[in-house]
Amino acid sequence: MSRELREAIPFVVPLVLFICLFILLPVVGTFWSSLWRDVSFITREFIGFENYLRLFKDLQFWRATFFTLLFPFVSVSLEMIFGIIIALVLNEQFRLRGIVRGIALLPWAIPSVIGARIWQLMYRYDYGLANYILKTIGIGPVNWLGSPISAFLSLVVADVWRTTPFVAIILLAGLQTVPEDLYKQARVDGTNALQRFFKITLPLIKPIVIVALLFRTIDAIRVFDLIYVITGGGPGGITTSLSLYGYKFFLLGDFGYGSSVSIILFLVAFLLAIGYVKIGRFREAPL
Amino acid sequence: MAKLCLNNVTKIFDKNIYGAKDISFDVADKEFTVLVGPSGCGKTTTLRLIAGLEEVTSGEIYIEDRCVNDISPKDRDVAMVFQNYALYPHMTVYDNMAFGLRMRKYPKKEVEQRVMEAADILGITELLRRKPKQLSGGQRQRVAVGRAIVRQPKLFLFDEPLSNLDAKLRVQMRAELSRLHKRFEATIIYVTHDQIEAMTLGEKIVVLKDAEINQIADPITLYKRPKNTFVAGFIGSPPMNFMRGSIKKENMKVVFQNGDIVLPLPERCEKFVNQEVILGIRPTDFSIDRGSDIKILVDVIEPVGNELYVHGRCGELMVSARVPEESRPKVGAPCTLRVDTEKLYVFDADTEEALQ
Repeated sequence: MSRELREAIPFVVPLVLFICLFILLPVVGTFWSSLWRDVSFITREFIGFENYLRLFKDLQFWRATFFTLLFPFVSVSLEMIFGIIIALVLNEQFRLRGIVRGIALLPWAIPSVIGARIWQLMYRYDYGLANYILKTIGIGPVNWLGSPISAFLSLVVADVWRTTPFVAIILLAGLQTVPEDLYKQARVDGTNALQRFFKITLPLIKPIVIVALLFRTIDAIRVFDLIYVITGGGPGGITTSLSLYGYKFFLLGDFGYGSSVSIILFLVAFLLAIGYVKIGRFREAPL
Repeated sequence: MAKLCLNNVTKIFDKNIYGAKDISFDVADKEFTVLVGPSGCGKTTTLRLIAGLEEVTSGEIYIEDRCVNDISPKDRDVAMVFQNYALYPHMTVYDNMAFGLRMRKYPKKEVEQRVMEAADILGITELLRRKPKQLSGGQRQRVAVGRAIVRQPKLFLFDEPLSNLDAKLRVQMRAELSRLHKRFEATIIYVTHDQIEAMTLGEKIVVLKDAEINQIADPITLYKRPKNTFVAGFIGSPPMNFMRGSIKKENMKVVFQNGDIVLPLPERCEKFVNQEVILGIRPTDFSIDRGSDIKILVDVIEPVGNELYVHGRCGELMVSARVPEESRPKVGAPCTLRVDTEKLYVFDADTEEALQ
């Protein structure tokens, strides 16, 4: 064993142990239990991939999968757009910038269940703030959480409100790595502000954008608390995410089937992460 | 190419900090003008005002008789080379050089032709497909210059372009810039803190200190007739020695006196008799053949090959001098220097302005 390798081992071993113990083991364990018929009060029985076959024929599972892909796509897209706008503003020099930066982060600082509860109250048909405002300006009350599309959009709005600041702060860190002289050079080169953004800023902060996308997409794919509090997966199961769907089977005591849902969710998130890392080409330093 | 004129240009930053104070100078067509001064003297601010990257607080800037105060950098038709080159890291060398032309919607063919031509002149043709981080410092410098050349702008602005290069490369690039200037007949404004760069490159030198102009002159005038002690001390290396004292008349002869030091002065100094002055002696104006004696205690000897620089003390005074190698001074030992009194500089003790 070379000296270099020998010296590296003490630093690597804790991380490998951590990954094995807290990440690999649960995944393998869940996969193992997804291969069993494991329902409370019934004898456990090994059934191979039968749970997955059942998933394949389960319409509600496909709906949940569709929601789990659509929800991150819509909400993360909006978060990136608003996030970059906020980051650009916060990157400018102005008075009280420190305070404004702090305020911008507030939604992210509120525990997500509490934030979700606030939105749920605002969406209430009878005494919610949203309908109160609509009524005062003369537009009738809307049953926000009652129809599939408005329920979906209500969740998107709540999610965008809560996590845009997170995106903005990450992107702000990225903006600060772009040397000021590049913008000066670009101005002398004859660019306007929009061209500078698309030709200089965006390509240079791309790795950071990918990081933000990665975090946010994987977070949004696993979305649970927001839906649990605001719509409970309704109306008619239309806003049920995979994590909520799996959770319901665990509640019912069907651990085998719930585990198979979880494994599918894991695979979706895992593949997406690999895709992002490939796009981001993190082996190349940004500057 | 074009001429440039600054008219009482002042820039005040927040909290009443002056970036430039009442700056006025002209740059003729095809002239190589250098702004020089210590760091924080306002030279880079002045350059940025010309580029339009900063807005003037008062005064006017004219490029080719057109007031450009309210014209944005992209419409001023200037090209700027930054100290750290400011190459776009995500673009190839080719794209870096082509960027300014593309933004101005030049036809593709002309962009290619201009870039290839500039690359050829600068000897960077084989680097065109590389990214900036794959280049050495000198190569980046060339790319930055190339990017300015392809634009064929009215004005070239250089902001300390050589200060990130090693000493050898700097000398080489200095000569190259000089050649480029002649070749393109370009009007160049060049900022540096290095007085040697200023002297070797500049046809006209603007010396700045504390955001104000101290002197505008060609290199030789600047060296031979510095307007004040600051310019005298800044131009020339090692810097001029200064000593305070008074001019007196003894035995029908004009002399300078500071404690024990008494130096005879030429006839032309007679009109300053009984005046408090600062005497300036360039380290290169000490000789052994003729002149008057100053005794110093040698602290440091710097051999530079064919000659030596000695730094020593004469009482409270620090004195630097260039001496021939064969004079063999020793550290810690006294050394007698002879002053070429014809070449002394005399400044007013209060205003520090040159006395003529």
